[in-house]
Amino acid sequence: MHYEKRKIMRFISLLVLMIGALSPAWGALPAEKRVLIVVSNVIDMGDVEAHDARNNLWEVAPPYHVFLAHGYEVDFVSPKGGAVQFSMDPVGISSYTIKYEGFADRASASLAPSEVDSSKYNAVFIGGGYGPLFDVASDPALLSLIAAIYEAGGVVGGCGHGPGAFANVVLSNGDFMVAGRKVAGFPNSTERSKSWANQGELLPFLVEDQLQKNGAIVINKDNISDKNDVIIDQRIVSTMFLPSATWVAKEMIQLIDGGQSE
Amino acid sequence: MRNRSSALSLSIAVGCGLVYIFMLAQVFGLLLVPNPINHWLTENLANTGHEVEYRVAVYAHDFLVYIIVAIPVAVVLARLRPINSWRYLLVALGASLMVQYWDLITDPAGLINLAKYWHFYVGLGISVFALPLTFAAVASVGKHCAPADPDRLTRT
Repeated sequence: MHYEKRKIMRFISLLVLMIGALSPAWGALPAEKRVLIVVSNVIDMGDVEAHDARNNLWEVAPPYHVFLAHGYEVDFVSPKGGAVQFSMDPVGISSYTIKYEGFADRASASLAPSEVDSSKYNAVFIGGGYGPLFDVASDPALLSLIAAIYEAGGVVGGCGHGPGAFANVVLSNGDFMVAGRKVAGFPNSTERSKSWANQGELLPFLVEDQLQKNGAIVINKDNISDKNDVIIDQRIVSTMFLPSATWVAKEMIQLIDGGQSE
Repeated sequence: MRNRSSALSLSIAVGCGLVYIFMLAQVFGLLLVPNPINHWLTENLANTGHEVEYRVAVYAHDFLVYIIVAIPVAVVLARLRPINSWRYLLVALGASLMVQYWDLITDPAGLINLAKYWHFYVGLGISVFALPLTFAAVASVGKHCAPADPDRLTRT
């Protein structure tokens, strides 16, 4: 019994020593693949009742975990840089990634657009929450950044209200990035049925309307069998609702690793 | 006969490891959703700039949850014959770690990436040490309470 105890203690000590010894070397390795997560600085919708805007933790944290666990370095960028706020309680994988994967540290030190070198990124992801509709969607520097990553062969992904934030991205040829592409985003029918933004009246625009206006082929509950499906059209990956946020991240990784190009 | 018994015990140990990780997933994914402790810690420590206190409290909380979940598993492991054998603990622990970190085992790039974050080592530490510590406690209690193990007489 005591002999076995000594054996297990030796095993655990060895394990800890090995990890400890390797970690500086791992830290020094250059990150080959990077993803930029775009988040909002907006906290509320600016109305009298201060309806919650912010970023939806459940649409940002799980994809962060997926990117990280597949070897991607992840940076956050927001219109103003610095700390950003999240709605929803930290539970499940969101809680895990906050506690054990540095999510909070990264998100609380988001970069400003001027600090970002678009050529370093393989992809850009925008999660939901209403926040991005209020600032990201109309921020010229951020929209240019997304366009630059996309035009350099990068993948653009979004979930929920995120696709509304990239609906206004204009490419160098003057076309909207989403023009002619199948894109899913938070549907009008759901927006109109919820009080979160007074049936959508507090929003600068409805996601589906804006995508349609800018030439996207909008995927919604009327033309899809499963509302949680992930829509992939060349290098744009999108979905309507938060349960599929991780699947968007996984599909983005497949596109990047598979070297998908137009 | 002894080999068959040993194989059965090893299989049970693997099962224990899998049940352990399944229970942890259920507890953290479902049961702790309405848990006010995390929310309270976030509101009163993380959001008020007490980052160190928050980290210490939240890691202690998680470690305690791991220990509580590990108790029934440790009891079963400690009762496998020969009782209180660390061999079965190692097998169960190995199985649970394999499942928990399967993505990282199959994708070393992810492991290399996560190794840059000190938080990751805390999580790994909790995962590695919670079950052995619980097992040691259960074995220690069992040693004082249980009748003598006849198998011990035959072991050197």
